[in-house]
Amino acid sequence: MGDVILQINDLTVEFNMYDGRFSRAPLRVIDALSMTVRAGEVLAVAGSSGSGKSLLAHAILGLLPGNASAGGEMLFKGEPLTPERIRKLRGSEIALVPQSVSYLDPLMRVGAQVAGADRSGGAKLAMKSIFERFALSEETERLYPFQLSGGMARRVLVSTAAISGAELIIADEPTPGMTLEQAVEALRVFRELADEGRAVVLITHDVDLACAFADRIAVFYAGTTVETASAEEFRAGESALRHPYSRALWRALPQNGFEPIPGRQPYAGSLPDGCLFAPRCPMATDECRSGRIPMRELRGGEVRCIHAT
Amino acid sequence: MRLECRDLSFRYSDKQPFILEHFSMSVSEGERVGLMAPSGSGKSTLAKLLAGILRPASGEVLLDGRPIQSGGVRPVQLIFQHPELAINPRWRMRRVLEEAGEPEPELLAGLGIEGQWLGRYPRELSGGELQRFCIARALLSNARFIIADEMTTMFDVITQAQIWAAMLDAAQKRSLGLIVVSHNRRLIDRLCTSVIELKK
Amino acid sequence: MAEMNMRRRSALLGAIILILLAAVYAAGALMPDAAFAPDFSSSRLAPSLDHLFGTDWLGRDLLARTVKGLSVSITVGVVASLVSAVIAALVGVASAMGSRRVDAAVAWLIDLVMGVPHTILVVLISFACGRGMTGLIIGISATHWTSLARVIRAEVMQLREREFVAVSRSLGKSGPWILVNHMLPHIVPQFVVGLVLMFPHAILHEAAVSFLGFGLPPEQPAIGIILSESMSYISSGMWWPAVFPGAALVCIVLLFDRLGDSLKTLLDPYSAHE
Repeated sequence: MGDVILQINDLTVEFNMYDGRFSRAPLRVIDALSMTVRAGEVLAVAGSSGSGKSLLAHAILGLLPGNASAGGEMLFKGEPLTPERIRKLRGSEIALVPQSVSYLDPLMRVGAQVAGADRSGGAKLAMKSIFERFALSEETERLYPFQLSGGMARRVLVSTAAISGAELIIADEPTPGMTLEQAVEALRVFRELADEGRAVVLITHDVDLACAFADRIAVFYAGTTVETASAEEFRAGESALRHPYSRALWRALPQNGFEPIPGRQPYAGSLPDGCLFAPRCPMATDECRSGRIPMRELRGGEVRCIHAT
Repeated sequence: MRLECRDLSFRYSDKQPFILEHFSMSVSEGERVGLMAPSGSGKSTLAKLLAGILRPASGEVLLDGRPIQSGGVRPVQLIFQHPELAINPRWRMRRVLEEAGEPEPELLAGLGIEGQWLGRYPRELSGGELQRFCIARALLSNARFIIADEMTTMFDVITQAQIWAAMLDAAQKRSLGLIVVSHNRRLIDRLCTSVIELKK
Repeated sequence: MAEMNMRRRSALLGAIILILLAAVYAAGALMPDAAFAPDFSSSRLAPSLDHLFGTDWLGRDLLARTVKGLSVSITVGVVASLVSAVIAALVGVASAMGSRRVDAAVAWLIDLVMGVPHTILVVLISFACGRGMTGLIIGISATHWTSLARVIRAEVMQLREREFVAVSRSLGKSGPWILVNHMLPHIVPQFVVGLVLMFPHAILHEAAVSFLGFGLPPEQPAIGIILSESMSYISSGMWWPAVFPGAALVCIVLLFDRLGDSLKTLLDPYSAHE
C-alpha cells in the first residue's frame, strides 16, 4: 500500500445559522468523520445529495463559507493542514475538480486556464492529449467558459486537475451532465492518475460508477461515514457489506432488487439520538437509539453499527 | 389510447442545424417505452415536443390519430430532471398541487407525500420530495401519458427506487403510458417494456 | 450588535431613512404659511440661532421655506415615480408578452424618449401643460419609465422560458392567468427597487426645471425656486440662501438613493446567506 496522503480524524463542520430573529445556533452538518486516503488509490465517497458530502471537499480545501467552521484534525502527508498551508498547496499539490463552471475564470480562454495549471514545459502537449481523450475539439481551447455546455465544462474541469501534477485530487460530483461514455472516460483518467501514484477522492452519488473505478468506497449518511468497504465487496453484493444502509443502497440499484427502503435521510439539525440510521433500520434495537456509535474495524473494513457482523 | 409522433423534425431557427430529424415512435396506454440516448442527441427536445411544450418544424404528434388540441389541460405531461425548476419557488406546495387539481389524500399517500409538506415552500424540501410533487401534479391533471426526462438522475439510488416504485404503481392503476428518457441502461432495462435507441 | 448581518443592517438603515423622510415631509405639509411669511424687519439675516438657515431678502425664514420646499419635492418625486413605474410595468410586460410588432414599437418608443435629454423633455411637457405641479408630474412621469421598462421586459422574457411556466401552460392555464399568478410576483422586487431608485432622479429633475423657471410657479416654496432666487444675491455676499437649501436637497436625494440600495439588499434572496 502507498503512503498515507490525507488523513482526517474526527472532522466536524458547523454552520452559524440565524434561527428566528435574534438567537444563533450552530448547525452541525458533518460530524465525527474520519478517513484515510493513500497514494495510488481512488477512494469514493458515496452518498445522497444533501448529506453534506460536498462540504467535505470544501473543508479539505479550506473553501468553506465564512459562517462555517471546521473542527477535528486533517493531515496532509503527516502535517496538519492549516489555513496557510492549504492556501499554499491548493492548485499545486491538492487539486479540486469542482461541481460547477463558476470555478473557471470567466474572462480567460479555456486553453490558457487548463495549460496554466500545468507546471512542466509540455503544458500544451499534455492539454492536447487530454482534450483528445475527452473528445473536446481543438476549438474548445479558444472558447470562454460561458460558451461551454454543462458536459463540456465538466470535462474541462477534469482536464485541469489531471494535468496539474497534484498529489491529491478531490473530485466533487464530476460526472453529471456527461454522457455515460464521457463519464467512464473521466473516471478512467482518475483511475490512471491513481495508478501513477496520486491519491484521488471521488465524491459522487453514483454507486455504480464508484464500484467500477474506486478501490474503496466510504458510504456517507447524514453527515458522516457509516462504512468503508472495498469496491469488490460492493460488487460481490449484500452479504459482503457491513452496514444496513450500504446493503439498502445495494438492493436499491436497478440491476439488483430495485427495492427502496422507506423514509428519508434526516436533516442536520433534526438528527436522531444514537445511530443516525436507526429510524429506518430493520435491525435497530434499544441500544441503537442512544449514545454515540463509534466507527469500528470489521472484516478488513470499517463500520458504524453495533450489530454488524 | 395511443400516443404517436410521425416524422418529427426540430430546430430552433431556420439558420440552425436540426436537433431532431424525421423521428417517429408510438406508445400505447399501459406501455412503458425507454428512450436511451447519449446527451446532445436531442432527447430532451423530443420529450418537450411530445409534451407539446415545443412545436415541431415539421411532423406531428397525435393522440389516437388526431392532433392534440392546443390550450386546455394536455393529456401528455412532462416530468423534468430538476424538480426545483419546475415548481414556482414562491408558491407553497399546496398551491403547486392545486394548480393541477384538488389534491387527493390517497394519491398523495401513494407517492409518499406527507400532509405537513403541503404548507411548506419548495426550498424547505429536498429534490426527491419535490419530484414526488411533480408526479402528483401530473397525475392530478389526469394525464394519460407521462414522459419522465431523466426524472431520477440527480438522486441517490434509494430515492430513485422509491420514486419509481410510486410512479409505476400509479401508472399501473391508471394504465398510463410512460416514456422513460434516461442515459442509464440498467434503469431502463428494469423499468421498460420496450426500448428505443436514439442515435446522435 | 457587531454580528448583525447585512440584511438586518439594511432593514434598520432603510427604516431610519424612511422615518427621516416621512418626518421632513410631514413637517413641511403641516407647516402653516405664517412660518415663512415675509418680515421686512429681519431681511437678509445671516444664519443665527433664531434663523438657523438665515433669512432671504424678504425676511422669510429659509429653514421653514426649505422644509416646505423639500416636502413639495418629495410629493412631486413620489407621485411622479409611482406613475412612471406603473407605466414602466405596463409597457415592459406588454413588450415581453405581446407580438413582435408591439415589442418593436416599444423599443422604438424607449429609444425616442431616451434619445432626448430628460430636462428638455420635462421642460417642454411641463410648459405645454401650463406650469405647475400637475404639468411637472406629467413631464417627469413621461420621461422616467424607460430603463425600468427595459428591466421588466427582460425579466418577463426570462420568466416565460422557465420550466414552471411551461408546466402551467400544459396544465391548461391561460396567458393572463400565468402572468398574474406566476410572473408578476417575481417582478415585484425589481419593480419596488426601480421605483425607489427613481425618486432621487425625479426630485432632481423637479428642482432643475423649477430652477430654470419652467416648473413650479415662483410663489411656491420649492427648492428650485429658492436656489434660482439666491443666484441674484450670491454676488452680494449672501451665500446662505444658496448653500443650505442646496445642501438639504442633496441630503434628501442621497437618502432616497440609500433607501433604494437597502431595499435592493433586502429583496435579493442571496443576501440572506451573507
